[in-house]
Amino acid sequence: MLELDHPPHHRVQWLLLLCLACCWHRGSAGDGRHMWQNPKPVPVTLEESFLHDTFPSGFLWGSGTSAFQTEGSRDGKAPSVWDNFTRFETADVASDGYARWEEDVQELEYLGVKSYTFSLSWSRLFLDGIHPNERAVEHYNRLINKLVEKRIEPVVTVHHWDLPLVLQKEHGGWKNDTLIPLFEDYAAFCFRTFGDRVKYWLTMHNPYLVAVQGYGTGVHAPGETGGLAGSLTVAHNLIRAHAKAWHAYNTHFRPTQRGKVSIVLGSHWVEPQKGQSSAADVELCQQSMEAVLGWFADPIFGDGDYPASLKARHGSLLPTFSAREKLWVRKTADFFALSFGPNNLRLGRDLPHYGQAVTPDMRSVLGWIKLEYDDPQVLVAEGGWFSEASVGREDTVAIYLMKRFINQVLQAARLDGVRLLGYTAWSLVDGFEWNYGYSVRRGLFYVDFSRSDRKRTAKTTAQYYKRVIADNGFPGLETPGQVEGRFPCDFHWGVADSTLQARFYPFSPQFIDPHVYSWNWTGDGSLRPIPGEKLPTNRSQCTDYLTIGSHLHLFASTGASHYRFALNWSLILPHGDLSQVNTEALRYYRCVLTELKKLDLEALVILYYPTHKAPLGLPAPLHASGGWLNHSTVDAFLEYAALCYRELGTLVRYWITINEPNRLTDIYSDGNEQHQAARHLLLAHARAWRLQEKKSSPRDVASVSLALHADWAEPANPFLSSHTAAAERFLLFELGRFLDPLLRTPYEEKHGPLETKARARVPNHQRPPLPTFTKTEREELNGALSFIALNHFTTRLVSPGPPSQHQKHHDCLTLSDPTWPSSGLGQALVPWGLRKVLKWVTERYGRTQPIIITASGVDDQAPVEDNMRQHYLQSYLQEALKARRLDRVNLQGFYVWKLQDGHLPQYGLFTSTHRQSKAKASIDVYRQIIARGGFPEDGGVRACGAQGAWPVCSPCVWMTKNKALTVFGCCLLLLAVLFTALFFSVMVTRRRYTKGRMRGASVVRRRRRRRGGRPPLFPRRPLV
Amino acid sequence: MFWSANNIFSFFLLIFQLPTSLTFYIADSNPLLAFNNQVREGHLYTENHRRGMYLQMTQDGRVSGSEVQTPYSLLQLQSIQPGHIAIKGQRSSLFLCTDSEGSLRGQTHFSEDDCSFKELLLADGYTRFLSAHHGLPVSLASRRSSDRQAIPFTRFLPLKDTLPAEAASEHPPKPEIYFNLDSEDLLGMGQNSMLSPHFSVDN
Repeated sequence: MLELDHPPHHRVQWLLLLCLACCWHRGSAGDGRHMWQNPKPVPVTLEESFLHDTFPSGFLWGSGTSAFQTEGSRDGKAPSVWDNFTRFETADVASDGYARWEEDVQELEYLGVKSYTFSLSWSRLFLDGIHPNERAVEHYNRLINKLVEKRIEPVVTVHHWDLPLVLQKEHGGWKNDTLIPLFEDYAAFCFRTFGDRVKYWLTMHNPYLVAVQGYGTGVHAPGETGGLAGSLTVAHNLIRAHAKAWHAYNTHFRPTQRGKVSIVLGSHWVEPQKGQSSAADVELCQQSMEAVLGWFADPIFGDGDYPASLKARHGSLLPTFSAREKLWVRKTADFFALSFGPNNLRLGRDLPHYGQAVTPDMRSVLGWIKLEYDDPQVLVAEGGWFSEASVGREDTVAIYLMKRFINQVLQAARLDGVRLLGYTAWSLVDGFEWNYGYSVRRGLFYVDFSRSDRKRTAKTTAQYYKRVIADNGFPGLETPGQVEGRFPCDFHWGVADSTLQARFYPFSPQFIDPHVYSWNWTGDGSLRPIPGEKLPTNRSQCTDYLTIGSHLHLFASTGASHYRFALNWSLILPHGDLSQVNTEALRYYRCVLTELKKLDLEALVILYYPTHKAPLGLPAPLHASGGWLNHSTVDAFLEYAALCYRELGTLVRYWITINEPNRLTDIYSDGNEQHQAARHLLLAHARAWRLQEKKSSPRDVASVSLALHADWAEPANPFLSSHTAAAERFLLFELGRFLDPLLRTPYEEKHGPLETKARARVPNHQRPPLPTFTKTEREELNGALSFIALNHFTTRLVSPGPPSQHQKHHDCLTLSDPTWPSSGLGQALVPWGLRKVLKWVTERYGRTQPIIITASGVDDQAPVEDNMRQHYLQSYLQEALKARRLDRVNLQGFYVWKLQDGHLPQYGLFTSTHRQSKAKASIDVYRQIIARGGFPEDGGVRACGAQGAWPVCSPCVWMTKNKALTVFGCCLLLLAVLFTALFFSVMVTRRRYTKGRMRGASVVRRRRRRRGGRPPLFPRRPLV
Repeated sequence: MFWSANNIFSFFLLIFQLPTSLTFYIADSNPLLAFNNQVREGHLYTENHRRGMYLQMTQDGRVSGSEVQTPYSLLQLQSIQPGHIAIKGQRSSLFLCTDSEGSLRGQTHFSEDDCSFKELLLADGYTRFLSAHHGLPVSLASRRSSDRQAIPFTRFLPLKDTLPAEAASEHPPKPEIYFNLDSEDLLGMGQNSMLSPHFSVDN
């Protein structure tokens, strides 16, 4: 077998798995272990977690019911063991399916199913145990004829748990092997009577539960607590009874009727505990499957005998098949019929899970069956979960369970090569749910049990199932695929950080230690300070903080151009007012900004970064005096903002006043307090914005915004308008609550102010007050936003909250789609959500305001190979480009959250300092996207500097390219200049010297001439 | 003449008044970067004429000598004030501490008295660590010998870490998801709270 020892990439693993799946054409007992030995990789992309594909044509879409759960006892029926077993809630009427079978056929037509699974009632067909009941035969004939007429394939279960009570009383039920020939006769009667129209027969439904719950634990009828021995005997009889029935069909009816016969076997699934697939855990998982599914499937689909692990475990308690019986039991099913649902998974301690984790993974069960039983055709004869009775017809959660179950079946079919016959959504209508009575519901159609007509209404799952059947699966969406193009040159390629920890202390003692040290001056060979000698220590300077250098070095190495970080308000102003200003802290921040500037990088600085812990990031005295519920905090913030603008303003072009005020208000449990806080936060922001406005020269004015937590909200239930409204309301409360007062929206101009609009949607009895503003305040707020800053991480499903949940500000519940891939902390990866939220904001506030994503990222526990984050950056930035290109969103920046991990590997692009600040693989992805400026067609690197920040000087560019040559050239030039200077100076000195001598000689001559023209005493020296 | 040469030199400097990123700065060439984050990381090697060993501190707090470098002998030396350092095991996260007897142990919380050491650099490149409070040297020798001067294994050489990066932690175990099998919300769809990563993670 291939070994998959951590291949480098998930997709490779997927491919290998696919290949593996293709190679597994023939499986045999024990091969199922491969399911755990080669575990499926954790899905990272939407495509990996949810398969968009269709089922093979002819796939048997179906739904089903069982006789006892739905029929009721109308029109004469002998009691079954279940009639005798039920105490408080009976199935005397149940869903009245016996009378309302025509309605049920209409429901099947509504769904568009191709098959209907129902069971025949043994106690109805044989009232006295000997003579068939004509009326019952007629009823089933009518039903089958109608189904055939409507081209719905009848899939008929001969026996679904409702054993006639008389057989229990006289024979002791399935404990006694005298029931085997009785069952054979009954089955033969059914084949003979209905077999001309029925092509799919199921002899019995989930014998495991009959044996264990019915005769072992006593939870099901007939309620016998025979323990393990009882269960083993009953199971032995059930297997032989099935084999008898199959042989009866095979010999007497198959030649004429040409149908197929099988037995429905129930199963669970287990995964190794704690996700570690050690050999011992794999063995226990295999044994757990063998103890439930293998118990029945090994004799029937395998070699005619129980699994070896079961024999070893139960020893002599386990009945044995004789050699003849083995030959006669094996291969007594024409296809595999699987039941996978709550009845098997909810057994709790009664389920032999052997300490492993019970997991509702249908795809793995199907893969296991393929491996263990030589790739049989599989019909999912029962699939689905349950809803609480109170849920009614708006069963939103059930939609997603159905979506996931069916997609797992699709994955098994398409990716693992399981030969699937069909899927039966359980059940068609609500009914009597065995030991749970009427407390849970499993129907696609809601049955009103309080009404005598048992009115049926389609639940939203029925609507969903209808759509899936119509699509024959989940065909791919008409997505525009990859968009090619670049972001503009001035796009903020950012990395976001939280509050920057100020580390004041110089990195090494040598900067504060004035002593002079010397080796060995005391003679003991050590380095000691010389007493009395002191040197002045260095004047403090930014390079003292070496942490800044290394931190910014980390940032710069990502290739990003913009660094977002937050100042620590409580550190700068520990008292909350200007009575004490921590100049050291301000100096530290200034140093950070100066160093950034030196690196030619931009900063986006957050003034107030709230936390959920006690002082909420506020200076302690402000928090003590009421925090954001107190109006004085607004003034305190203004003082603080003014101080920061003054001290750091020259170095910062982009400010965020408050980070995620919409999350901060969540801290207040009371709705009034929430709005009071929101009001003050908005005023604080607007006034801080106005401070910039007052600046003298427009060149100094920085862009100021407040950053909102902006996850996208998708209606949870696509079939309910209340959910669509809830999603809209949710977004209005999340974003509109803060943005509407600041931006006059095109929407508002048309439809009136948000307040009335949003309030109108909230039910009367729990209308929370929105923040209200006076007229002057409103003027102050209006327009006080330079750009829209959004922190986007994920997408949530939104449904209206239950009415009991009072004071919840938006009155919505958030859910997550289980078919989305999700991170370790449960964050769903939904790239298209980013595009949708950008589109929503643009449609509401127009295109004049630039939008900047000031934080976006995902947690990934991998220390270095962070596949999930790599995919996140690729796909989210791709969606950002789509928003720009296709929706014309004025998106101006994207900041990745965040630079470095804390203690645990989470959101960081770098590991924590404790782990040597290692660069994770996603940095390369981000750097590459930045270098290309997006996703250009040619994939080439873009040089943005040309039109970018500073004007080009071509000699500068040339010089940077040829640094060595420049230096050499300069040296040469210098040398040349020096030489020339030397040469000239020599020339000049020399000339001066000779001139001086000439002048001396002529003076003598002149003097002589005056004396009387005497010839010179010395002959004239010739001039050179 | 001298002045003019100086002028030329300053002109030479002027040429390089380019943005800092374009100058001759070579990243990480700063010798002080070794003192990055005030922490030096390495193994402490000590020897006598017969054997050499590394100081190691296991998870249970025992301090011993190891012939080879182990994850437990990887130590972090952090200066806490001029000449004084704290020593912390990288894997065990324990501080190296000593008592008045001079015997060594690892403990989880740092106490100024027991866990700070004077770092004495010797002329031959070795280092001696003396307990700042008790004045006893850090030594891997057994404590029986009473003569303080004669205690061997007190001179340490800080050596670079040569251990291969830990491969085991590279692939975290598959996250285990708990399914509430008795709930209609089998897959935990409703366990979605409106938290922002800005508020919920350790910052």
